[in-house]
Amino acid sequence: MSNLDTGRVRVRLACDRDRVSAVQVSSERPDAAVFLRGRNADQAVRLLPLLFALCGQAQARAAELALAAAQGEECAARLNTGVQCEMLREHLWRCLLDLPPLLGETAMQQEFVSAAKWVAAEKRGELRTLLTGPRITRLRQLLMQASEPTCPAHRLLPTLDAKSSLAEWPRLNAGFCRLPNWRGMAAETGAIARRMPENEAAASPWSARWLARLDELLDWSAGNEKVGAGGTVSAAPVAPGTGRALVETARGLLMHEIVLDGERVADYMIVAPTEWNFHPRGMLHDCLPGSDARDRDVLERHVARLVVTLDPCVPWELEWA
Amino acid sequence: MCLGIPMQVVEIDGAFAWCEGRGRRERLNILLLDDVSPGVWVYAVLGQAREKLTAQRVYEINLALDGLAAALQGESSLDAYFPDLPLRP
Repeated sequence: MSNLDTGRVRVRLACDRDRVSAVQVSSERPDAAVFLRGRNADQAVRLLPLLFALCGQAQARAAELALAAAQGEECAARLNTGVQCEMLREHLWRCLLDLPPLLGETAMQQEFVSAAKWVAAEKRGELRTLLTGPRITRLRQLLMQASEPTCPAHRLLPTLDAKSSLAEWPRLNAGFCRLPNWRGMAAETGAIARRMPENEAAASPWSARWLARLDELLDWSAGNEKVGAGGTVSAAPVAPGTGRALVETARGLLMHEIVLDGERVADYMIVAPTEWNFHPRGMLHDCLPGSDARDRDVLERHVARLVVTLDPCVPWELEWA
Repeated sequence: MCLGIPMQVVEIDGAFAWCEGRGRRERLNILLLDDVSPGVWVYAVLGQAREKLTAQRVYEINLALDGLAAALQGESSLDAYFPDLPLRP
């Protein structure tokens, strides 16, 4: 059984006297395309969700829809129940287990276990009672009162479906998968981007992102979710034999593009949300320089809080230059 | 887009379980799963046990991970890593 490096996000900080002077962010992951090229397309599509189980539903639907699009079948943007359920479960994990300790509260383990079951069983009313109850209301208040360092507002990726994405990116390639950009610049994806008007990134580096996740959960619990929210899927033919699918996951936009050579995969591109959100010119690059570096422990906690807020889908490491 | 790995539960420790798989030993959060006991196979991603796995599924996932590792090391003959997989529900 071979050892496999499953990838990571690296955050490298340089400090100049008492301040952070430079930040390098990189994301490394195994390139699944090398494994998929030359395979039978149906096999490849069944294999991907086996490898990438964190958002297995999203990966499975993206792969199937991209293949169908390559065979000429378009899919207009619509909500997919399985992807939606997976997205909601991820938001619940973040908001009930990860967020409370960041605010000095205890993690809501029992609530999480119940809520994950309500989502799976579509018991929206029960979730709504939890989300509008005293503990979540308190988390919301703490988020709104939290003092945060100001951060230059940066770009949010607009909500796109597969067809409209063709105008932005006529074709995807391996370089774009590693360093995706929107109109030449880094852009952030995720619940905050889905919920805020274009270019209106909050100056607050983290509370707005948590509130956006809570609001996405609340929308579903009230039956108010709309196409474009987490759980949205779409697909479009790019060219004969090439298809692209877009899926809105908890962490943001996932894109698959498959290029067929007959029944075989000639090439396969996956652009994952972590590559947008941990872009070398992304939020960490904008927000961390200038941070107080006198106490390394305090600084480490500050970095960890920002990283958890952006929610990478691979483990992360902090390094000092 | 995190790669997951199959791991077998060795010891339960409250909301966590010590698990082993692919040469690693990790303490996984098992809150998402009911009735976890030693011997059960789970899918491990980012410190969480995401779902329980059958022995057949463990075999398929390990084969896929071995195939990916082989491809990344430049191996060109990958047919052995592609069994006839059933469609996931």
